[in-house]
Amino acid sequence: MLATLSVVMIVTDAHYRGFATVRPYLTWLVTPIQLVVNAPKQMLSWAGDHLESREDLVLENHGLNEELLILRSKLQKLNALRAENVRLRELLDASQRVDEKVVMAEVIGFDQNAYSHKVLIDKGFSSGAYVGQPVLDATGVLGQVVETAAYTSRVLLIADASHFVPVEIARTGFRSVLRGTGDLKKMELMSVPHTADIKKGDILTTSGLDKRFPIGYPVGVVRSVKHVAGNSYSEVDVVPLAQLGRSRHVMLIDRPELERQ
Amino acid sequence: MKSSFIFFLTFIVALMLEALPFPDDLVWFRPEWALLVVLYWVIALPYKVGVGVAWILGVMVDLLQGGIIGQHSLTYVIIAYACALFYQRLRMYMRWQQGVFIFLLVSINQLVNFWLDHYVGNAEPTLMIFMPAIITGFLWPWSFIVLRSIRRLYSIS
Repeated sequence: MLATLSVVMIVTDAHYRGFATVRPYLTWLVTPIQLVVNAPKQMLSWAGDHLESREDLVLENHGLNEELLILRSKLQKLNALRAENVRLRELLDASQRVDEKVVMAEVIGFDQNAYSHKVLIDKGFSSGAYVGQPVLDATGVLGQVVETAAYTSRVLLIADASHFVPVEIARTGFRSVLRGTGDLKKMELMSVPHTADIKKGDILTTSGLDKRFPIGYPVGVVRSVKHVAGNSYSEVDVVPLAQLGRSRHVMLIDRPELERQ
Repeated sequence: MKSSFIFFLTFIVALMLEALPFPDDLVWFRPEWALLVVLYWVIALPYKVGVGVAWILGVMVDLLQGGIIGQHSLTYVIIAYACALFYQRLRMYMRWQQGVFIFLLVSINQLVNFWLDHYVGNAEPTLMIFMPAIITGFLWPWSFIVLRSIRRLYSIS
């Protein structure tokens, strides 16, 4: 009887997405377990914050100040560029780009299922997370939210075998789709003709054509381009820029309205 | 009353072990903690812990792992049923023979889960799916001893 019930549940969930509305509330049941399991890690990082020696802190402070200075000088240039960009966009009659709002979140768990690559973060719909929301880390695009509960969400990593990101090559503007392989250190660029101008070291950025990921964020860098005789497309190997297996602090990008090109 | 509290406690610990982060390279070596615990109770006290408890635990594991809701509850129900059917014979077995039996049952679990994950389209065929079954079978004698001492300590019967 229960087995039949299970089968019914499997079919409703996998085939008709019938649990989509109830699932966030059901996940409440297991949220305490996830939080308790994460507690030792939190305590360690708290202890690390509070028990650091003075020299270390001073050293870190110096390092950060230096970095801040460098970033500030870069920002000055950026402001000039932004003004110029706005002017040019006005000339072209294009709409303005909106600045996205950012919510910081922390990774509190990795998925234990060997087939899928998802991480658990500590922000849920109570903090404004929603399904389909893009997630970045400090170095690149990390993935997108696929499931939200009140205080936690699951993020599908871009390297998952079921994840695709439309990208363009920053150098040439060539557009394609980047496919995950299930290996966290390897992705594939799809349908690249042999004649396309692409080489090792090219940076791939989001093209924004999916209307989900905002335009212009770095996704990966080309590791190798192989031309196999007999295949209609080249094999392009890409390394994701985000620290997929290791990032701890991530950003949820909130997009109030879709940008139009 | 006391016994159901102990059941609850062991299941919570099993679920916490399920949620524990595991290194990415060792993901295939993760034992099925929840199954170890529920199968012990089914074999030891089949009239108190049965198919229903296994089903609830399965749903919890599904929610924890973010898979299809129902996939683990289905396999847990099948396995718990098999154990409840054979519990008298199982108790007569030697510890390692029980381990082999557990290995077979967890293999069923792995196969059904693999089929379902394949059906939704995010599983690549590999023989490594049987690795957790082997590990769980190996862990059985030790988890048996730990759980039996818990049962005797609180004299649950």
